[in-house]
Amino acid sequence: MNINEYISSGILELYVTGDLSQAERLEVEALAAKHPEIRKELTAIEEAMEKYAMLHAVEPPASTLNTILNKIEQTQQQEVKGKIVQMQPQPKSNILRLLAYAASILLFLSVATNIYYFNKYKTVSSELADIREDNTFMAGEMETLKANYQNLESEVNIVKNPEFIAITMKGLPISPASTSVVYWDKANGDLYVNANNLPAPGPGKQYQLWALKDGKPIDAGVFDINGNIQQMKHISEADAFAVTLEPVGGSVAPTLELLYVYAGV
Amino acid sequence: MSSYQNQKLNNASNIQATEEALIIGLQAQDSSVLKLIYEKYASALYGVITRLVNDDHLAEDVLQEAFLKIWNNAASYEAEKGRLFTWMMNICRNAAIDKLRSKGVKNSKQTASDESVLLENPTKIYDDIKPDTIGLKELVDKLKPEWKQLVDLIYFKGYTHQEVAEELNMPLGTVKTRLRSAITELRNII
Repeated sequence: MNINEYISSGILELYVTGDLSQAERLEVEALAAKHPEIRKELTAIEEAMEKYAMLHAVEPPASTLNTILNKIEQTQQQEVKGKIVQMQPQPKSNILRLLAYAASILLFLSVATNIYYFNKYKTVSSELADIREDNTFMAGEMETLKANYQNLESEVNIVKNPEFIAITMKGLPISPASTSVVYWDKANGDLYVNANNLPAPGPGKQYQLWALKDGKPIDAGVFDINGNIQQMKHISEADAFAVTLEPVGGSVAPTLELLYVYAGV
Repeated sequence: MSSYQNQKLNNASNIQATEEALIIGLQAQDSSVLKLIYEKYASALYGVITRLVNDDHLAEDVLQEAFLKIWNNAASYEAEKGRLFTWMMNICRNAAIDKLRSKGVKNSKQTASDESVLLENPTKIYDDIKPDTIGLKELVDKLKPEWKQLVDLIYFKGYTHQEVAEELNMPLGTVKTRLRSAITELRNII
């Protein structure tokens, strides 16, 4: 289209003086947006008519401005009132938001505390396990000590008991340095042996204690080298005591070649 | 350059600067800016409204309604589509026409007696012209009377150019070219 022809057609003047249909107004606006020359011409016409209108101004009644401003204020207040109804939940939601913040902080603190205490708990419970283990160990030790003590006590009792006589058996040529002691209560036949410096018996072998009466050996039981005074079989009569090395479980008759210690009563 | 032209340039730049500020304030719904707009433009708009409805009481109602529309529809004003005054002017014109229709009042343009007065004595319209625009008035008076008549009928009386063509027994094209010539002449003067 020819822009100059469009401008000089007078349609822009009709636009500014308000003498166009809605469709025509939109067309003018669209073309003005597209063509700067039309926009410029339109603005010049607008300014001229604006001043022309100013020239023909008529003062409205003095009260009109206040009436308008009051109406606007009322509308705004109504809007504000309307908004207040909507706004009322706002503080609640603020409280909710605060509560949510507080809750999340508490949750965080709780989790952090849980982690802290869980770690602490883990440390403590492993420490506790250690202590328990120690305790168990100590209890075992205690049991051992108690047993040892009882052992010692009974040994001491045997040794101290005036009813017992202690007979020290001397080492024979097979093991001259060895000694052993029997504690014997002649009255009731209780017999104990302390044979702790005998040589280790070797596999499949066990020491056996014999009582000798009138030249006959009487089995008094087998024993291990365990550091303790060991109770043996009851022997009511004996002239002498001897220890031989025998197969495990002992023999019916002593192996004289393996006689280690001997003592007469 | 004449003092008028100087003044024109100054005014134009002032108007430009203020208009932008006014638009921003209006669209931000600042009622103190609406007050400024009213003080600046209400009398010009009221001048158009009173000429359209020919009734002081109705004109005041229309001005009020138009300003409430200006306030409520501020967001729909687009500066790139035209000047703020043109937009407000259209709102006032439409409000006036709506008021006339709703009241069953006939548009004054159809009361021949008023028109004949106007047409016979086109200068009558300047009776209430502002004192500070006397100089301009004299200049505008230099416009060819038939041109002024044309501008006033369309701009102030709400005539369509078809109605003017009928009223003045003039071809439609002539009405349009004369309106353009008249406004071009106005642009040179103002």
